[in-house]
Amino acid sequence: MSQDVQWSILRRNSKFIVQSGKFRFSKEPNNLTNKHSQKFSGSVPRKTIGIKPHSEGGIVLSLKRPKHSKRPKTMHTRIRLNKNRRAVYKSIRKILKKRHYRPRLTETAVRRACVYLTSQNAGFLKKLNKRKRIEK
Amino acid sequence: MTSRPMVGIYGVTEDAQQRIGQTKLPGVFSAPIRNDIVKFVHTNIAKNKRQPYAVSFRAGHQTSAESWGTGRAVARIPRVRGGGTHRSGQAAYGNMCRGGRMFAPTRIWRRWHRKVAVNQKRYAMTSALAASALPALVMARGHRIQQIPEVPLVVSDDVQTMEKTKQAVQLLKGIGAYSDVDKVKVTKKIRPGKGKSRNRRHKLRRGPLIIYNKNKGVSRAFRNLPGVDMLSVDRLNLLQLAPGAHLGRFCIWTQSAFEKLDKLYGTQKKRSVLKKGYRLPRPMMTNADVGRIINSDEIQRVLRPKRLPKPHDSHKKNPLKNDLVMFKLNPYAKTLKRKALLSKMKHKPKTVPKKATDKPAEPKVQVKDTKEKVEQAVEPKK
Repeated sequence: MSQDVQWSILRRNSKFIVQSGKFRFSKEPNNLTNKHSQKFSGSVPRKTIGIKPHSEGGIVLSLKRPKHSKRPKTMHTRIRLNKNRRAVYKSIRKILKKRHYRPRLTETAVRRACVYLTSQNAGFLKKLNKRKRIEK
Repeated sequence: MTSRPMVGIYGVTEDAQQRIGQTKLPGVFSAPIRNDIVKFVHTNIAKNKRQPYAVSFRAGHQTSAESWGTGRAVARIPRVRGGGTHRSGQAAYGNMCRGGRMFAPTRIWRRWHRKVAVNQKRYAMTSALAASALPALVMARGHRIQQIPEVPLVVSDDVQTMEKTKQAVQLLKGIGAYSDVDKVKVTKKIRPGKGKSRNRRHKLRRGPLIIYNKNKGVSRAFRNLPGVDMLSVDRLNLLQLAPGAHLGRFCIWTQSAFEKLDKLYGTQKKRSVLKKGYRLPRPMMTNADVGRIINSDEIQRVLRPKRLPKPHDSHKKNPLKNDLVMFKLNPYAKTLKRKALLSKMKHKPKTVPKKATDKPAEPKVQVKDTKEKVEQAVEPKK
């Protein structure tokens, strides 16, 4: 079934929609910006990208496998990326390019990874800021 | 239509995630999905279970009230006659009166039920079935299907002979469908309103729907699981397959039920065997993928080239102040300026004072060849 038909059904009615004021967000697992839109939808397109934080540091990149689109259990491949920031961004870009995953979403994916990595370093950053304040 | 893919069959064994066979995907699953038809049919069908109700047709009219007319300094509404009780002299009949009848009293001869054309009902059913085979729609309905091996999910016919709920639970856990039942359990809430006292005490979400061919105990095995519904393929019901007219119910088929679908609804090429003369609805568009249509050669060829935005105009600079711009407008200005500088140098002493040149950036450099230095100063920076 075409993606557009599926989206036309999901657009108005989906479990994942969160409406706040005039904005519509989505709680879908593979939605990179959490916006409820066809572009960022985590379930409808053939290939979707998801980025989640890993509990022990680093992030998990999950990719929807088009050949397994009817097999929920094996639908996603998950890759844990747990290196320094630059290496993580580099490998996200490399993986998505190599596997032909939605070039327009690559930078969005990197940005999302960046946010998680920053939040994981929150304690360290706090200390840094404190030190800076004292120096001032 | 594209070739019909195969669907795996899963067993009642311990490792239920393993395929034990496969079968062709019935033609219904490639039927067009029309959620507007589903909605229309659902709202109408849902009315057919209603029972008539009405207020008593005598209610509010069981007095001999009559208006007092004008001139009594009270409203002209009918008033109960006589004396001796509180009731006498009170207003009656009107919908605004205490003890009066309601506005537009309900009648039992309201149109309670709706006829829906058979072909429409079948269209809605095929749409609902086709939607139940799309993981995106099933997940969007709220079903937990992340752990199941395949959509649509077909299990072997052994399930039909199950009699114990314990076996049923084991099966659901094995194929990864039990989390959908767990989800339902949490949602059990007491119903608001009068329904509580009318044998509808609790409200539940919907869990998986089990569709069998022959009931040899399945309905007993599964009926105590919250949210799980059972249906026979011969009596498929839109209210179960698309509850609330929301497409994408999570269905678990037994093999024989699944294979019967081709007989019931036919395929795109074959007419149905069991429904007389019925043919599956055909999609309006052969290709409903908008992206592919737009990017196709046929469309791209006839489109005009993309209009790029105009390059931004640079800031206008004053040639009287900015040498570079001046030189561009008047190439001779460069020579003029050079001459002026040289003549200035001639009349000054040989040691160059600090503020002699236009460029105070390199005052420390010892000037040996004056002419070269001046040229450097005048040469526009790039």
